[in-house]
Amino acid sequence: MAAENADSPLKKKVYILPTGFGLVYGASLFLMLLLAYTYQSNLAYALTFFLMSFGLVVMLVTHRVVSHLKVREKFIAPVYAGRVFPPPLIVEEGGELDGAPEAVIFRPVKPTNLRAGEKGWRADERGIFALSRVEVRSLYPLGLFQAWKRVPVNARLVVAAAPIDHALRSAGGGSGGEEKPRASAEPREIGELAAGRPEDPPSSIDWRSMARGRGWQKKIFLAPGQRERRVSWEETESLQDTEKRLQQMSAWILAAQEKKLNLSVELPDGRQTTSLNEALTALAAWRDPS
Amino acid sequence: MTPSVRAEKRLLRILSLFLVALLLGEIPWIFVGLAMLGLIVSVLIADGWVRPLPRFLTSGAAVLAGVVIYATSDTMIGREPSAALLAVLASLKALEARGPQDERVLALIGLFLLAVVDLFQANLWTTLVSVLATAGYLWLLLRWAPVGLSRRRAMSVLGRLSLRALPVAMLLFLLVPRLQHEGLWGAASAGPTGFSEELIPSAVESIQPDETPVLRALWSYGYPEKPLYWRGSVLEEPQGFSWFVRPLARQRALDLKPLRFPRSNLSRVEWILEPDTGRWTFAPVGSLDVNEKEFNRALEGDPETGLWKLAARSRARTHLVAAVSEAPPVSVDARPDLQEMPPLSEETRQWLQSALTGTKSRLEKMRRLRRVFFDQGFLYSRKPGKLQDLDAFLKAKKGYCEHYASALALLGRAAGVPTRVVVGYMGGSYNPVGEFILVTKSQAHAWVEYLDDDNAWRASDATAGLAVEDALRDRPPARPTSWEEAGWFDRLHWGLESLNYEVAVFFMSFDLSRQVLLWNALREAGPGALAALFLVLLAAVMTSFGRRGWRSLLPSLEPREVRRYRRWVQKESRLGSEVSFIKGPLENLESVEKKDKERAEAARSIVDDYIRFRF
Repeated sequence: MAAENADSPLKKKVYILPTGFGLVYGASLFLMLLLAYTYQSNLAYALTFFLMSFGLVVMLVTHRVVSHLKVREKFIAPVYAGRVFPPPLIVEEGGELDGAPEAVIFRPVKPTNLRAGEKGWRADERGIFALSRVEVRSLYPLGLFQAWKRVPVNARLVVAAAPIDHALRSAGGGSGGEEKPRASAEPREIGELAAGRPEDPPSSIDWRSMARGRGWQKKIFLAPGQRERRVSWEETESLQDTEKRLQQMSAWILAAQEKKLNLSVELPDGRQTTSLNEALTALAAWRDPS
Repeated sequence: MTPSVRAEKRLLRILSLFLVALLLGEIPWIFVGLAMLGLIVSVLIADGWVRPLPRFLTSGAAVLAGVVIYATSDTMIGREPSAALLAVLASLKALEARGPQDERVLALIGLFLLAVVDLFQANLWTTLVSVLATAGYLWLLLRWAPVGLSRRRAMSVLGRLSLRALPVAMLLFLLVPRLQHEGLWGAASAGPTGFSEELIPSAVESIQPDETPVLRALWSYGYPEKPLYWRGSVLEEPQGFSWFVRPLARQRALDLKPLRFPRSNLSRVEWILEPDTGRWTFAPVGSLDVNEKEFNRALEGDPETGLWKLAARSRARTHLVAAVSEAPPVSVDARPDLQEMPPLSEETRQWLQSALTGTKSRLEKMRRLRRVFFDQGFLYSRKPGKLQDLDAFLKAKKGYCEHYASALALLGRAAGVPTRVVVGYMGGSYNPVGEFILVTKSQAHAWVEYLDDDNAWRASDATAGLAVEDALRDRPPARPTSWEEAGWFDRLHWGLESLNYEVAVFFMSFDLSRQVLLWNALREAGPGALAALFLVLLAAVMTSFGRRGWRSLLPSLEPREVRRYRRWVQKESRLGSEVSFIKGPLENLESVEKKDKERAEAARSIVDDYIRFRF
């Protein structure tokens, strides 16, 4: 599906402005021209004129990169709110890009709750969004100018609830990997963390989380050889708040994903699924009936 | 930091270091030295041996450098101070550089530095250095750009962008008018012509041989037998042992008649004076004569004074003059002002009286005085030490042309002969390839002119023929004078020198007069030439800005089947069909079929042809 509509006025409007570095480049050329003029130096004239026309050609290329650019939607799996994900778009026709599609930056315009960062996009909240307009921007090839245009697209983005912070730790504990391997022969593997209860044995308490002020967290260990993780809406009942419960489920699903475990999810609406996409879509779209 | 990044950082600094080295001799050594030191240390920083300096420190140092440069140059505007400031700024930026943005700014400072170097030196070698350094800096800019191209791709993109930029750059070079002006900041200081409005013996403690070309004279008569004198500024006002030029207005009022020679045995000579940056007068003396008609046209010289005044800042100007084999002197009115001089010491006066015993006429006196230098064991020395006055020189009995010219002129005036000092050049090496005589800065010279008993100007060179010190005996042997007796090295040297000359004529000296000539030639050639010019302009613009670069000028070489298919896909895309070039042709056809069967039927033959051609 080609993303651009030929009749769209958006496609025709390409804006171009010099970058900060481009302004410095222009100012330098002006001074060089002044020097060449003052001292009537043909060599300095030649250098200045060459750099000038080089800048003009660069401006033209930057403009053409954007004006001739065609983008196409790309399917991406559901993503988590608050986490960086790649834009669901690919460059279909690069033209002047010389096979450097990474030179194009996408920024979502509609919906507005998506944000573009250096490493990719990020959604602030969960939901299923219809991506209808993106800004295509490029600094190629020299970064003297930046050109951009807004193009209509037709993409659907599933954003599941943000995984609860403490559950994002990779299994085995320790975010920096500084933990040394234990002396015991078969250390038990941590599946994920869950809210602690008074009756939990001290050995299952995640003291690290407590030390970091994240409250009482309980480690849930995987059974030896266990390759399946069951996640249930009921298990999150103690959290009470719907959003937190969804975030907890996201965290469990993410942990299972990272460990490449088979997943079995009991959704809030009572359905059971083993499909990750279906589970996350349901978590993204869930509305509390109350 | 990866090794490739480190290598590029090193390359960037070495390029700047090289440019700073080229400024050696043009700006005070202290700034060159500081900049070199900074750039060398910055290589260590780039390699990770030393940490970059904090920004506040380098900013403070930059301000301090600005103040020092202002204090030493009395200005911040102009070639020398800006070159010094840029050299120091480049090193400071290199010392504090942390990220790609800093590296890009450093490359930009380098490009600016290159332009300043170009202001000082204009020859074939500087042109080559400029081309290579520009390519290097632009390549680094592409590497450090936000997109960050790989080495090979940066090279290929640089090549393509440069090819596209060249035609418009050439058009700008040809068409942008070179305005003749006095300069934005008044007259510039003396350029490397070697001429000066003053002669202060011993001001230059040690003369270094400098082979920078000053002028070239086209000369098709083989190696000249007699040394040629290239006459420059005329200094008539003595102050102690030094001499100064008179203000031009006063000089004119003083009835300075031109040197006139019979017009016999004329041969055209073309001079190129490069670069001229001041109000210098320039005229040949001795065996060269002025063809007044051509001289006036080419130079707008003043026939009243006979002085060849060059327009301020006109550089690499071509002058047409004429040469004769011998030149009889020309009579002028008496010049009582040419007898003014500071008082001599009693010792010198006695020495003078004994030297001039038995002489009566001016001619005899001047010949005797010149002879005394040879007879009394005077030596030519490039390092005579500080000789502040005439007495010190007569005691030391050694010095270089400036000492001898000043001494002879002062002694002549003391003997009642009107004299003056002339600075210019003597000699020149003949180039049989380009058939020209090349005069370099090392041939700068000073001699004396005096009025003889008939009030005619005569030249007297007190230095010529003097014995030289031992240190100077080991000078390189004189170059062979003909092509036949030359070895391969001399032939190569001559060839490159000729090429350098052509660059000077056609590139360095391209000025407003050449632009006017070009325009007039086009106008005279008629509408055909103007049409051709229009086509050239169009081709240049298309090459630079056409979507396919220079290929825009050619008819499309795309096969018919591919072209039809491409147009069909573009058309369907405009009509909203889900077609694209990354899909297969049958898939595209299917997409169109879903939307409009009739259109798909019409397009089937195009797709079939395309499939047959491609697969």
